Amino acid sequence: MPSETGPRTVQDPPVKPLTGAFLSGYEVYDETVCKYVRSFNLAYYGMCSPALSPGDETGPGLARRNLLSREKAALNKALLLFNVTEEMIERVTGGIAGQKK
Amino acid sequence: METNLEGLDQLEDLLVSEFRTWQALTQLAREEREALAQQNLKKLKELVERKVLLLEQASSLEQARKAQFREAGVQVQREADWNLVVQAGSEAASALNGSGVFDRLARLFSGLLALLDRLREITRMNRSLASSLLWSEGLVPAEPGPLQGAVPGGGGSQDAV
Repeated sequence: MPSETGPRTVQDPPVKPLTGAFLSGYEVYDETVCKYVRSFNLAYYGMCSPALSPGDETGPGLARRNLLSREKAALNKALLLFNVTEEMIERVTGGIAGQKK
Repeated sequence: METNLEGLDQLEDLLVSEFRTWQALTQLAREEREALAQQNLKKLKELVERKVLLLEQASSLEQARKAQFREAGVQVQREADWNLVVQAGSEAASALNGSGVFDRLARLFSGLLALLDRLREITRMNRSLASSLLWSEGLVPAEPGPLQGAVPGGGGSQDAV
């Protein structure tokens, strides 16, 4: 594995942004998530903007912060998807019930 | 009539696919619970990526099933909690009564609802686990520790700063 020669930037997590119809209507929740993500200096979701200022991308301790941020971001994303899952469950359940006359 | 029978067959196929997708999501939720209990966030991240794809698939199948449902001209009646009856909603579909397809569809719908109920419960538990983990002090150790392994891409290199 090649070693890093410099600090990692906060904009390179190999995670594709959540997109698609699922996420429509989640602006409020997204904002909550993004507020938390931003507080850890991580532009993790494509929906979380703006990105960090250049000054936030360097400095001692950044790697450690990134490490922690990515873990927390994984949890945030998991929490977001719990909401999506529950909403879809309600939609499918209600849809089936709603198919009666 | 043939068109409606084909439509009902397609509806059945879609329901089977939808059921299998939600089955996969339920299994994934169990794996999530295990990953959360073990604080294995690398695994959790992998599961979350898979979950996005499965949810997209479930959403597409749901839309297709709804459209096919209308096309097939049938209705679902809920008699009790999980007791569903699929009936002909059109004259053409009524000719298919006794073919057994309505019973199969009713069982599939009932099975899907039961499965979704189970997944709802697992999801609630997982949410509690994830929330606890997110806010626990244990996630933020003072020194690099076991969580190093959870870094996407293999970890370890982050200490090169």
